[in-house]
Amino acid sequence: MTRKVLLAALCVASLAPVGSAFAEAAPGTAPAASEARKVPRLSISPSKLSFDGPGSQTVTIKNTGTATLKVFEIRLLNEGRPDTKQKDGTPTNLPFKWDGSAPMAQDLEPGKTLTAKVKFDPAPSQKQGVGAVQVICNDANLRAMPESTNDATHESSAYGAGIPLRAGEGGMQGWLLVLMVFLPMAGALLIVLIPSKAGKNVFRFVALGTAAVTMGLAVYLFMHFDRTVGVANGNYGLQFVKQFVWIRAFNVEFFMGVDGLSVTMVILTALVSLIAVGASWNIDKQVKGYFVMFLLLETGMMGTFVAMDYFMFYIFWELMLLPMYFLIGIWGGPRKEYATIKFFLYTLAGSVLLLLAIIALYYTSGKPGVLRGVPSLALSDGTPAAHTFNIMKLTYLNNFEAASSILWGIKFSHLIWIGIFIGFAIKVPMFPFHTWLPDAHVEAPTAISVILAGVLLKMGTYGMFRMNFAILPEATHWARTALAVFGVINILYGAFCAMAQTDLKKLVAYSSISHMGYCLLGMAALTEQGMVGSLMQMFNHGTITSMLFILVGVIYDRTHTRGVNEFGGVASVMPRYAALFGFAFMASLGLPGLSGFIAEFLVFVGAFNVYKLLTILAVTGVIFTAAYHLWALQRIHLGKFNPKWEHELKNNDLNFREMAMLVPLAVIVLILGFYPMPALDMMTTGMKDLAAFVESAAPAAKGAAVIAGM
Amino acid sequence: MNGWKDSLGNFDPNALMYQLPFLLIVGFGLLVLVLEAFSKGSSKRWLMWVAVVGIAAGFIGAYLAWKKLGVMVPGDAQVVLDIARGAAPPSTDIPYRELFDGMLIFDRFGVFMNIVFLVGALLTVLLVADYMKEHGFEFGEVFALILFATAGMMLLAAANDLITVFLGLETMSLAVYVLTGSWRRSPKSAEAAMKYFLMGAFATGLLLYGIALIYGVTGATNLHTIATEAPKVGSNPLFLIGVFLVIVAFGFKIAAVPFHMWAPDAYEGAPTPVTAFMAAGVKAAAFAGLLRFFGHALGNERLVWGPAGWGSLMWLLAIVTMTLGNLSALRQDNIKRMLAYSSIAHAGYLLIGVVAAGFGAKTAQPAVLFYLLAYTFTTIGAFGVVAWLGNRGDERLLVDDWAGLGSRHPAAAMAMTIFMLSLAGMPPTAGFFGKFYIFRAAMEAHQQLAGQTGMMMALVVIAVVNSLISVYYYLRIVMAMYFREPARETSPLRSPAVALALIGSALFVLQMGLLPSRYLDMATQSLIGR
Amino acid sequence: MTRVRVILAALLALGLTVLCVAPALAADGDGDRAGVNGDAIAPAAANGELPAISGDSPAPQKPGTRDLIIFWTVGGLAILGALAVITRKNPVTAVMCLVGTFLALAVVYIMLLAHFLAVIQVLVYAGAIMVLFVFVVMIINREESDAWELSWKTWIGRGVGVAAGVFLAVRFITILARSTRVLGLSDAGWSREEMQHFGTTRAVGELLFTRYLVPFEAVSLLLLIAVIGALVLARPHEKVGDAADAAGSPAGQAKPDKGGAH
Repeated sequence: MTRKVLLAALCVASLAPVGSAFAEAAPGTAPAASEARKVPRLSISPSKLSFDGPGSQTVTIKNTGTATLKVFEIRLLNEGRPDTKQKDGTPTNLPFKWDGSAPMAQDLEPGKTLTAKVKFDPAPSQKQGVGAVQVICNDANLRAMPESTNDATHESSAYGAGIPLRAGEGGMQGWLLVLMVFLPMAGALLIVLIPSKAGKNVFRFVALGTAAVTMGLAVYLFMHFDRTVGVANGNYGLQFVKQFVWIRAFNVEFFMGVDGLSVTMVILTALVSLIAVGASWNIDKQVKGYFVMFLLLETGMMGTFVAMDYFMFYIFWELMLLPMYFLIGIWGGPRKEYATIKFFLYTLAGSVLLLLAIIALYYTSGKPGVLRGVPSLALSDGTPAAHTFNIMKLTYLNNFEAASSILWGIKFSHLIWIGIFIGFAIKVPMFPFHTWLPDAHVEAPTAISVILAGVLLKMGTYGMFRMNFAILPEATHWARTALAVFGVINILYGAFCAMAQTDLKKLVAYSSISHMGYCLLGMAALTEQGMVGSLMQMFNHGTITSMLFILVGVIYDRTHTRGVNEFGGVASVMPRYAALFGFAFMASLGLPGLSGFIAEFLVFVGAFNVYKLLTILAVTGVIFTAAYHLWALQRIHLGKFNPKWEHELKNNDLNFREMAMLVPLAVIVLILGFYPMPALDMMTTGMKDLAAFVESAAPAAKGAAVIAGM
Repeated sequence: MNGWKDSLGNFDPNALMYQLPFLLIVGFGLLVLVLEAFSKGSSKRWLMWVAVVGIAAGFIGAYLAWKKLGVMVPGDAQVVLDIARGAAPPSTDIPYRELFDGMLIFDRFGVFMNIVFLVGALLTVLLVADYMKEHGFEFGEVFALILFATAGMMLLAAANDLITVFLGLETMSLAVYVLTGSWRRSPKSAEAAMKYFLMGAFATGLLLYGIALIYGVTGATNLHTIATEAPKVGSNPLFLIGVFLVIVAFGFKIAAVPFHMWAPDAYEGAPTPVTAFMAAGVKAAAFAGLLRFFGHALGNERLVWGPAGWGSLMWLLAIVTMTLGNLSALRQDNIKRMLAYSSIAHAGYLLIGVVAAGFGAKTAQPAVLFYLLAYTFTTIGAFGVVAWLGNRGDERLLVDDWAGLGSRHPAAAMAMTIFMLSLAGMPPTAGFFGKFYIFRAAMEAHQQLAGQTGMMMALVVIAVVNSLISVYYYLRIVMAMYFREPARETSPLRSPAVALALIGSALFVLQMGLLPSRYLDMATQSLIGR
Repeated sequence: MTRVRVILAALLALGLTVLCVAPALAADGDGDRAGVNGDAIAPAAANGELPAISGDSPAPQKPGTRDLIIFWTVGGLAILGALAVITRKNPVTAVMCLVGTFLALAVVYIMLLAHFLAVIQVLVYAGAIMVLFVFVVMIINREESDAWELSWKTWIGRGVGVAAGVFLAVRFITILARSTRVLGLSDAGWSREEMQHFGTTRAVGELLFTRYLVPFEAVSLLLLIAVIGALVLARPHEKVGDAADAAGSPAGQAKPDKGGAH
């Protein structure tokens, strides 16, 4: 008893930020060595300006110190494209403006105040906006640094501070993504707190409820996602933005937002997670631990897709890795230890490359020659910063080609590109790095296979869009052909391997490799159609392959085998199962009228103009895909029923839980096959800008011509 | 020659404030000794609480000293920007006090290090009492020895003169030698103490020789004077040999390859809490000395690079240390030996920080500091779980002994997992930020050297590959705990003190991983003065 | 045992030489003094502000022949003695060689004008401490045994060791080879009074209680730790559960009471 009290007290005590006693005192106390020294001190109030709608508010800047404060400039920093701006440096297309004339530089006596008015005047599509009021002055006690690169008039020891501006966050908008990311984690915490003796069903239903609420939020997101917003509308085309400074010492921000690319993935994640909870229902060993890990995994996946700060992205990326490791390792099949450590080491190898690239990009960002236009790498509260982890700023404010040195005989930016690419290619998985996937799938429980194939693989291609394409577009042009070749290899190699499999689950795993090849080919085309097709393929593969793995799980649960050759005539005893099995396989092989076809078609159309030969090769992949799908279908469902399974399969068709998982997915596949516009609209929102941006970095036209001839 | 008058005349009573942590720790060490001598009863376990109070007082002392040392402009970002522009760092003074004829210097760097040592001492004290009781070699002086060793570390961290560097190192080492051999019934403990002592004495000899040569050339033992003299005599062979010998001596202390051969045996043989203390505290103190002498005083570009520069030597040392440490750890089945090799590998990572500091990467010093704090919590926690699991006659040191711990003792297994992940550098733990910070500092150094050499970049790449290798053996323990069925019964220590230490360090490792901002701010403010 | 006697005699002779030579050197004020001083590589600077010996220091004076002879003899004896300490298997021989080394060092101290240190060296090290050593060796009277074997377990270890050794050697040689000049020797412009004052008990005492106050105090802490350590390691075992304890040692095969570490 005393021990428990002790522990509880300790927990509480340790949550209290002990370090704060040391760290926070810094700006406030006077130095002992210079107690007599007069110092100016700047305070800005209010601490944050938020607007619920059009209007203007007043900022008060006060010198609370004992010496005169030199204020050099007060500026408005808007998050947006820097290349179009007015004379005063304010970007034209953004909602924040000075109300009246911009405040002038002046000396602020101790105790004196200075006021400025900020106006929020949004265009119809600019419901949201983030920015900052930034004060540049000579106060060394501000927690910031000089930023006066192009202002020769300022003393070199200019310091700055600022306050964040917020607009249009009213209601749920700003918090929606935060909620979606951390709700599963809260669910996990709840499960931890429920005592183990509460019964397995309690944990199952808590997990189901959490995933269902998250799915509900995803539906809300889908309904309220504005399909007309682009980069030109400010916020770099992001919506549902939440942004504040997280780790000041590293210039790391908590920055969440979605564009068309992210929102697709977020919805997919919520959907697949919900389905996977259903598929986890028959997990019987350490149920509590299982669902804790499962929900943490969902948080990791969600966070990866909405994090717009590269550092934060990496944290979520790794956060996703750990639960996966345990989920395969504890609840997996006989060779789980091998499979899980292989999965872990492969992915980690990729992510350390990412880490290197992150740091390299960070230090290259903001350097003279790299920064485009007006330097505003400031943090979201206006604190000036020399370098940035902000993905959007890395994308739109930095041109890494401009000042790229040669390292080890290769352009530095290309080196970074390769590092990031391999990091994500392992996850996709791309051809030489794919060997972890079949092992992991075979050993993982059904639900985890669903997550793995449905969501985790997409992180690779998502990352390529977000990092490789957006941040290093020139290097993308440099490497596009290789990317396309690897895509085609993936398609064909995956298909051939799938043909040779006798284990149904391995077959589906290799079909995933094949299908992800279409994504790679589509994105390598660098056309809007190809890229949207690639994104569409990511979503569709997520839904279809989830169905496939659930179907494999259904039969494995009953017979404890997955051998393709051990069945036959299953259709005669399990008609519902056979119907859905056939449906899913048809969708997977790209039957017109189902969603898989749309995506593949878009990819081929997008890629054909650029890589004729490769596209033709890829199209032949469709034939092989059809071959192994139909072959497996035939072996399992047609022919004579194998009497060995009389007891297991007869009168044991899909139950309600299994139907409840499969039918919604089938409906989505069907709808998107006939009427893909709602999804395409959503995806195009972000992809249009991304494609245009990458296009703008294309090298001289002759290069493109050479490529086109291929 | 009226030096003593000057000394006393200039003596500032406030100066005592700065070394309050040191004085308190020594005072409580003496108190423990006296209480031990005059107390009756066979169990001396209650002395632990005296030591804990002493360490708590030390923390308060550190807090006061921190406050007294005043403000500096926080944020490495500022300095980074300046460097990026090629401008001189801003003229904000780093507050410091140089006292006792320049023998000691007090700055926030020293205070931060003191905090690291105090954390190490606190956790060790909490672990050691019940461990000794369980294994039947209780003695009251252990707390005094731990406190004195801590005082030696503090001396080293505040040393501004090679004489005090030497004395601090010796004070610390001597106490730790005794602690290592204190389990007298165990032949392994005796062997460990013997090896550690012999190697330590050898290192001491080399250090003295090096100091003598440096003094011979520069005419000074004061670090600041050496720093001003060094560029003039930088190519003098005697100076280079002196510096080289000092590197070798410190290499022994931090167990850098190829001076590491004592470490696995010493770590394995010593009582587990003492091993933890060695791995965390001693290493941290040695790195404080390294940073002060190499990272700061000799942080002159001419001295650092080139075939005869200490930086190139340490660069090599870092690579060899990381790589061999990790590769050797892969083959270990004994957890203590595995952690010993892991600790060698971590010395390699930390050396990257020292090299980066030598190149003038301003984030390197704070990076090493943060890493050391994180590493102290993590490694003592890990050894703590090892100590907790064993009982008399059955130390449970093999990886196979840990099978199924996850279902038997979920809390302990969870704590161990957190420590292992932190050692491996996975988010969201303190170890991740430590490693990230170090790599970042190295990358900053690379940026500064841009165009000249890709060697810092190579160093980072090798470090990253190494941290990947290390994941394998850290996860071996996790795998044994969770993925395997329990092999046999366990009856771990039932000790609230040990539980307190373990849970406390686990929570701190998590907190430093989730909300690292305050600790990072603290580290960035802790620069070496003068 | 004859060997021991021979060595003892040699050491005795050496000690007597030292005692004879030392006062003579100390008394010898001017004469070759400057030359002797030249051998001192910046004699323990009285207050750390003496100019460093570097390229721009005045041209070195040549040390006198007599000093050179004494220095090389004594230095060589010290090194030979030290080598003998670690190579002799007989502990008594080793200890006696150590005494010789100490005495030789004392002579070097005298040549460096560190009179106080020299006397202390003879009194404390060669006298008190070594007597203690001899006593201990005699009392234990252990059988001669093989040299302690370091655990070079693998070829990798050996390879690393050899590589490191080669590296160190090459480094030493290259650094030495790169040098264009040897360290300059200088008397650093000391006046005679300063030289006479230097190294006396008074001067040392004054330094110890002013400039080196902190190290002095720190040494007291160090010695305290040493005393406690000796106490802890040498204290007799308590009688607690011997059987269980023996099994409790990590090896699981503790020999019965071998008397701790040392």
